[in-house]
Amino acid sequence: MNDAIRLTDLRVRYGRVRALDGLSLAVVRGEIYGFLGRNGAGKTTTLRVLMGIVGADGGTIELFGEPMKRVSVATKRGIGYVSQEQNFYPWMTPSQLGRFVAAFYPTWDGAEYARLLRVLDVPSDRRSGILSGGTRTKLGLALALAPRPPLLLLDEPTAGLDPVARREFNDMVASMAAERGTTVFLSSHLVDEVEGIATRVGIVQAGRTSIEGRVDELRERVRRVRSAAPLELPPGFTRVRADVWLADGTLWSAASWPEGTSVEPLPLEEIFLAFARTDAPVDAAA
Amino acid sequence: MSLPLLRKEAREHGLVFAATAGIGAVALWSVLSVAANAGGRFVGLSRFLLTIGPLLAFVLANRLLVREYTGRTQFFLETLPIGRARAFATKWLLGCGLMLLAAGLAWAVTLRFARRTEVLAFSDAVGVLWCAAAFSVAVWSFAALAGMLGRYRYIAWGAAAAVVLLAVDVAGIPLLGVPIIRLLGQDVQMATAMPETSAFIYALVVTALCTAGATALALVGSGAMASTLAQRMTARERVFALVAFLAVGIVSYSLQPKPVQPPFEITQGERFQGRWTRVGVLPVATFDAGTARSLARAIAEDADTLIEALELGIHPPVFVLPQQGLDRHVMQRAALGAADGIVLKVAPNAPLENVRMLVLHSLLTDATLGRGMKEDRHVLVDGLSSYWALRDDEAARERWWLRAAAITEPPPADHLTAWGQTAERLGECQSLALAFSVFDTLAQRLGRDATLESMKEIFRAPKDDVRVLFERRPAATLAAAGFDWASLTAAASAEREKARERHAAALARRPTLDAAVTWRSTPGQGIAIETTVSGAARYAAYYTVLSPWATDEGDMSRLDVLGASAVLPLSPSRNARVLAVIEVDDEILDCPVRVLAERLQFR
Repeated sequence: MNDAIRLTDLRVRYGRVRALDGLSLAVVRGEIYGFLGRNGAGKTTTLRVLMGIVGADGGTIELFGEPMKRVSVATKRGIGYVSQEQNFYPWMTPSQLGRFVAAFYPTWDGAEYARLLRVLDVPSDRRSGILSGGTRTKLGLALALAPRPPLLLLDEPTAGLDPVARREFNDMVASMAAERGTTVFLSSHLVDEVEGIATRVGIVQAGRTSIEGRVDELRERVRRVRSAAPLELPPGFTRVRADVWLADGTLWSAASWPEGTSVEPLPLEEIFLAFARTDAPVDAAA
Repeated sequence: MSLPLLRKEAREHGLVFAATAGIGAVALWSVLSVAANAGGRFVGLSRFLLTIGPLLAFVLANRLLVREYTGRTQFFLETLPIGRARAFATKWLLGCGLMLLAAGLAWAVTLRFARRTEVLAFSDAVGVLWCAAAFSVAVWSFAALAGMLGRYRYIAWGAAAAVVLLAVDVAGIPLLGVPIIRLLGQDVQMATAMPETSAFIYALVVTALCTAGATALALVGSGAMASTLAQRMTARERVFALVAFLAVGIVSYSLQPKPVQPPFEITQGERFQGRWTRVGVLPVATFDAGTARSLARAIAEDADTLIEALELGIHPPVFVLPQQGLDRHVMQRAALGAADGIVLKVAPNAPLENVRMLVLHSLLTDATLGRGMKEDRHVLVDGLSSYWALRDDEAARERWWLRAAAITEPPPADHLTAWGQTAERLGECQSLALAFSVFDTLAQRLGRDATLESMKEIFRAPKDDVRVLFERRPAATLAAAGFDWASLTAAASAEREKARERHAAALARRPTLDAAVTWRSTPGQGIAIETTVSGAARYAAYYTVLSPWATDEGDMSRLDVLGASAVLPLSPSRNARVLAVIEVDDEILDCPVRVLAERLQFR
């Protein structure tokens, strides 16, 4: 199997709330997977399942080809994780944090951690409680990368960062992933951020994956169809929104449209908006 | 166990633990010093574990468990490759180990302390160590469970304290007999015997249940429960917790059975045993044995008949002690600390009807646990006790009606239910006469039996706890009998008017009295208060400085004045309040009459 992550029909409930309701996705080894979704769509829950913090109520989890009910401690040793909140012990300096975290990872590379702190411009001798939000996020990245994990999970890591810091962070992630062949699973609701870094994208809505694929594939499959007169959905097409339709690239090429109809490719942001909006259901062609 | 986590805990909490250990050492030294003369070899250890043990467990749970959740660092910990169960087990075992270490060290120090003065075999002391360990583990397991309840941990601790309080106060279990605490009971304190096996089983069960609960909170539901509970309490939750604690405290206090005091023994004087009441009256030089015997019999009959009429549940012994030097109208009830009964000190020439009346007054006060003195029923206590004491003496009844008829100033409408003010204004003689007139009127209008039925209801022994708040008010009882305070006031007023007509001649012989109290402030000399009376050759001035919270006259100082005026031997400060009272002996009424009662404020 070439997948680093494969989730099938994953279900998680918090009381009566269905946080994940049959979510399925696959992340290929070595790729940067952008996991897009609105607030509350299920992104953080998916990442917490992958970190073993939350147990799944149903479905299957496969990490590096190994199926599991819940992510084990041994598997976690191969995962680096940066969350949207950096809840480090505030009294620990980055150096102390490094020593503390190192004890849990047999593959911890102290020299690499020191290098990452230098590269990321994180002071090693200041208590983490007084570091800025951006610096704490970079510290989180250094802690996540120092064990040289094959899988890096990023849960909206740049939320709250200014555009410059965000760009720096993303560049760092992209270069590390390219340099080491690390698989990156990046959740975000910032489309431009994901578009700039991800090789493949999945859009999650109400605990389910609405669509996933390479960014150029998605642009090919999802298009806006404008016409003066109402149009019937051709076979194999799905109406995402009123004028946003979904179909395989071959179908789009083979389709013939009445005169006066325009078919436009969409930027990723429009595709995300079309799938993430909840004010009308996605219809399938009869 | 996780060594890196242990190291982290040591770095994070080392200072606090060291400070706690220091405080514990000082506390241990203190209790050992204090308990050195207590007789038990391990009394100090027991006291140390009972006080510092829960405190230490609370601190440990706060630092090791609660802090991780409230600071949200638990989330960071869970992103690391360490199982939640392992992290929790590490913290639990660390806390348990520190509790055991503290208990073990305290035991060792206590043993060494005890061995300074006596021979104590190590084997004899090992059992105590087991008890201390079992106690410490049980307390720690509870603290860990409470800690996992996050913001509700205070409620858990409060509930545990309430359980102990209720066990001791309500169930009457001695503190050292309460489960878990029993592990540090007297046998252990003396190192003479091990507690029963059940004491260890209790501790084991508590430990197992608390540990299971804490583990469930830590592991079940993705640990989200513990994180949610760790958040701060809302204002509503705080108020609820506070009210709950207060309610438990008040209920446990009020439900506490009061100690039964034994009746005192009457061994002296002329004694008379009635059906319910034993009475003793001590004869003195001017109060012969015959008078004493006859008074004892009269008092016993008064008390017995009233007890039967009202079905009172108390039968206190009564002892009357005539004492030379007391004013004729001054009667005092002695305070009995450790015994039950009524002991009165009276002047040898005191009016006997007043002595009998005071015995009955005391009986009713005791039967109502003091609630008879409340403002809305005090007049009935005074009225019934005087009515009962005078019931067979027509001459005395007429004398009291004369005193009541002498009240010329129209009383305010609520004078019967603001009895403190009424008594202050009228003085004892005429306020008692007023109460008598009111009660006699009630008995005339309702009939004796119906009146006594109502009094039975009013003077029923109240609940000695919070349930007393739900007792029936006298006004409701009177209303059920067809009376209210206003109609009773009007009826009594009409009866006094008739008495005024009957005793017009006697009342006309009374001198016209006029009294005044004035004060002046002189620079350098302070405030001087002067009393002036016209129409009497002598009078008594009573005075007292009222404290900010005083509502009644309390014990007043007395100045006997020959002549028309006198300056009170009192130099009050500015803004002080002084109650000044002038009384004149009234030969017609045969009692001192209050001519004036005035509250002065010096501004």
